[in-house]
Amino acid sequence: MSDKKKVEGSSFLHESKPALKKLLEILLGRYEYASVLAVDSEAKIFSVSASGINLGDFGMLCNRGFVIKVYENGEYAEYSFNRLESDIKAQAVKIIDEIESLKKAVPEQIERIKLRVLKDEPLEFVKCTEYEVNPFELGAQSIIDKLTDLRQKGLGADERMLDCAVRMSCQKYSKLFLSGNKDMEQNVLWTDCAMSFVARKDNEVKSYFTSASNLGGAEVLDRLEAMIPHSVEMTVALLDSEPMVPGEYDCICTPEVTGMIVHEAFGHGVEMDMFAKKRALAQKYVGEYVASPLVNMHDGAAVGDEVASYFFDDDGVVAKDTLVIENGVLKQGISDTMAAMRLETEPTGNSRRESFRRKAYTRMTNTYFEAGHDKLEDMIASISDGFLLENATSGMEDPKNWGIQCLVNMAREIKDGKLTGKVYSPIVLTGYVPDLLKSISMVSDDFELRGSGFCGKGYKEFVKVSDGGPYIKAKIRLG
Amino acid sequence: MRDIIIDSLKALGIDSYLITESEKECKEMFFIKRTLDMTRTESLDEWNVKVYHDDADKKMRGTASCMIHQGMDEQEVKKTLSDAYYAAGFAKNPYYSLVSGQKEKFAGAQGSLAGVNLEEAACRMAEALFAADVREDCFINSAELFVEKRTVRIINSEGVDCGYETYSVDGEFVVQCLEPADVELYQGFSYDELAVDSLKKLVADKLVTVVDRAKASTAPTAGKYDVLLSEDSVREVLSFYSRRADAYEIYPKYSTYEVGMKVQGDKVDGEKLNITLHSTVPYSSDGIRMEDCELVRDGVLKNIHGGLRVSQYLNVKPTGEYDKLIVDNGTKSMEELKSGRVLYVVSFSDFNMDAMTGHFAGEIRLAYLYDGGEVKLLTGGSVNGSLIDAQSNLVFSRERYESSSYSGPYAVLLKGIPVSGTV
Repeated sequence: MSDKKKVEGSSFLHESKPALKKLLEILLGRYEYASVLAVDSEAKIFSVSASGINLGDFGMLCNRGFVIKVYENGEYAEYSFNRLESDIKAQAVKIIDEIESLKKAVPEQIERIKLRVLKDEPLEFVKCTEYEVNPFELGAQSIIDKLTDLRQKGLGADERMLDCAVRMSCQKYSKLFLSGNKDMEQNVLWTDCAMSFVARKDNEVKSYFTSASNLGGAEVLDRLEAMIPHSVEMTVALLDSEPMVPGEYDCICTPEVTGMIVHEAFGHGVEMDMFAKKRALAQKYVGEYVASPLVNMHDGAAVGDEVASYFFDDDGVVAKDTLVIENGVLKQGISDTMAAMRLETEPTGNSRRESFRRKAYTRMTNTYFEAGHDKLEDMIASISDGFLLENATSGMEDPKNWGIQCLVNMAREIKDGKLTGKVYSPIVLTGYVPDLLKSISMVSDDFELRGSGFCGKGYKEFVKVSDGGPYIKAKIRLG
Repeated sequence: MRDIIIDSLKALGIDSYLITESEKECKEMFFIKRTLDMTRTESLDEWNVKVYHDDADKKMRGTASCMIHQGMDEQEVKKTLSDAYYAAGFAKNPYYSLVSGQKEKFAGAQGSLAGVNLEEAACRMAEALFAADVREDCFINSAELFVEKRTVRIINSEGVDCGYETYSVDGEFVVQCLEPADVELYQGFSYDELAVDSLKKLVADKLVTVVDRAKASTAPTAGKYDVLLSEDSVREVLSFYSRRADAYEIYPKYSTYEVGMKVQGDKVDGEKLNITLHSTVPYSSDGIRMEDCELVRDGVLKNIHGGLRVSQYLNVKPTGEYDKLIVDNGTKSMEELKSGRVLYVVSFSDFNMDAMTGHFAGEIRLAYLYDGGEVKLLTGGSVNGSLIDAQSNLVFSRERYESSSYSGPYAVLLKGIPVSGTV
């Protein structure tokens, strides 16, 4: 028998629902299409580091409010707000006035093309994710004690450690989507945790980062302790690291580096709002080989119990599992409702908002390469002169040109099929995305998804995502 | 809601607190080419409350923050504050005091944006956005525009009661050129004035740049270069010094900066840094009245900056948070900086400065290689340098660049920087 519990719904949303339905009814009397997304989200963050103990609400994830989407005469408009007035009729009039006033302010030289109206197929459900340990009920003392214990273990593992910062964050959100034909509710809880190891030598400070995450509760904290020995060993190794000699090398990517390549280098390029703007090279390559036949890539909120799993997206489309690359061939992209409407394709459940305050864009969810059949030790043994790339730092998308820009904390040298212990840092990965993906010659039978970070659209619109996959072997240009 | 919060704090016996009240109105326009994609309006208000939980002897102080939302009733507010206060009891750090103050006059916004309503400002900035989009060889692919009014009030248990309003125009656009190669460049913008002319010029400049980007097809030859960076990349490089001088980095010993230190090293062959920190809002998040902070003068660190808690631990004056760097002019003209063999990178995919290690890196979208009077357009490869290695030999331009987060030299020359590319 499972000892998992279901995430409870929001009493605020339940109490607001009659008023929201009344508001929707008024809007549907005025517009050809109208929908309301209502959100009640609470989130906490706890951290322990050399700077002290911090805890509290995770500001950007704590929100409670509503976003209205309306359509009339080929044009869409949205209105985000968080105050529900007692006189809904008067509030609806005010909202309509503001929407129409802004439409009139659009300069005359801007063309007003007629977009189609969104489909609104009937759908009604209430769904909830599950958890073992509710982080909101566990209590601050238990969480801080656990984080402090992990920090002490990290610090005590080597005298050269300067700091070991540990944090845990969690979000429980409830969403209600109402339109003419839809009435859906979802209640979701995720938790993530991370450790940042810091050591210093002379003027330079070196750090190493590890994390764990789940679609669930504070049970995820139990995974961190096992990660400490390797993380400390790598942090200390970084103190003697050398700059990389630029060149193209045989490389093995750890699952988290694989995840960064999947997400940053390729995933952003198949976000179909970029197709609608003709900003993505991938649009021309649907049906063609873009990767080695060993590569199968997925994105979807319906796959992988991770931080970006949900039941419906922020425009009311049910979550899916999209097979983006099948045996090396680009099959399709992922899309939000507006992009799908412009492109005359089906939306894939990837409309996501940073919060109710923001516009929805096509966004990734849980994005990964499928596992293969190779063993990691065989992959290392197959390299005479190359590197194991570890500890993804950051990446930036380039959908237009498929240029790679990913930063990795360290490259561990491999000579004659063995890790030598020599470390290079920091590492910049560059090159052309399909060149890298087509060069993938081995894929391990490991599989790991992690979702400790946020993904931006350009430099804003941060949403929770997970990415990962197996170890992969590829030829990569390093700098 | 403010009264409910204060009454609840009193009823719960919470003596030390900080309340931040925010109201926001935002008008947004989204464009695909010269067509309207969507308009959006945002209207909201919310409250963030920090509560402080002290030991009986006031040697330790814990804090926790919580959000109070519209729609919460008195009971819900009370429970949220009570839970936060309980949790704060387990986040104990050495004691520090809050800012003391009094009721201050509300700081209303001045300037051209405050003089027009948000719709009109959005209309005029949208017109400016597309004013230069008249070329046949390149165009704006897409753009986003946000015109915002924000009102903030900060109240604490030690008498602070201050408030201010700000107006801003933010956004981004992508310019595209189809021939000889189909390429694009991203550009963000941020103004606190109705900066119609600045936005027009920015778009016009980026349209020129994207045409050059379309002509560039080869990566630089791998090796060391004198690298010239401009505009926001200069700010990103120089942010290293403000981050290193942040009390929050110094207290845990991530940074070894101390006042009087020669931040560029003992021997400076290039230009000595002069950096002042500025805040674009009149009060910090803790209610400190913001004043400019002289950070570096002639290469010597003059002050450490930071928020309340760790500044007090370091026995330095809490300054609050800064969001703008003001840097003195350099000595060379842009033409002088481009003489010799110089790789001028005008566009990166992304450019990052790691304040912990001093490393900066970015993939090159467009660079001009100036070499003996010849200019070559390049794309691809990456810059991967160390400011710690390069900082003793910096050269800055006399020309200046202004944005909402930077006022200083338009360009900086960094010598002997590793660049990856063709081998």
